[in-house]
Amino acid sequence: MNTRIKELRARYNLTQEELAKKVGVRRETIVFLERGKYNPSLKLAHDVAKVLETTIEELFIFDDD
Amino acid sequence: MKFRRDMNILRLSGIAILLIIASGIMLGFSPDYSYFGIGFALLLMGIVAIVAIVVAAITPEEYLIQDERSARVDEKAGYHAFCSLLLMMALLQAIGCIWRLNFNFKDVIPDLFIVGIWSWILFRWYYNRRGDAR
Repeated sequence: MNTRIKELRARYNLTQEELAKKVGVRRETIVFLERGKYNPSLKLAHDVAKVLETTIEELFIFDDD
Repeated sequence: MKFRRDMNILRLSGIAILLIIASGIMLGFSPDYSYFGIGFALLLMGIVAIVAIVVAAITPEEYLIQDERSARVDEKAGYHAFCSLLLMMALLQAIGCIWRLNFNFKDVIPDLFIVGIWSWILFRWYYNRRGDAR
């Protein structure tokens, strides 16, 4: 799983810490999300997408193979 | 290093100080050392509480938030620590049966506690590092 969180976060000039605070999680969780090493719940995925003004489909990229 | 002084830290510090004062009273004013054991236990509890409070106070607040990932890590580590504890008990039982050791489970409870606590700490550290994406 890949994500576009880092790219979109840079577009909005948000640090990992600021994004973490906005969605109510630890900074570590954002780090894991950006590296694609954590499967978030639907609620967290929705919250992150909402803060970054995008959709879940655009935020998370799944390899179908 | 920032030392947080919020209400929870102050409240717990108060309890730790009370524990140490109570242990001092028990150790110092007990006429025939009859309360020595309780006094010593209270002193140990007070010292452990103070160390835990200092660690919690210097840890940034963001690391203490219980989010969904940390809850998932805790659950997973707890489940696997419980499994390792059961495995350990089964192994002890099997060893006892094979070599006819006739040991009592009561005697190994402290060792089982150590196995349980350490496996929980190690599993927590491991799952916290590993992530869970497949």
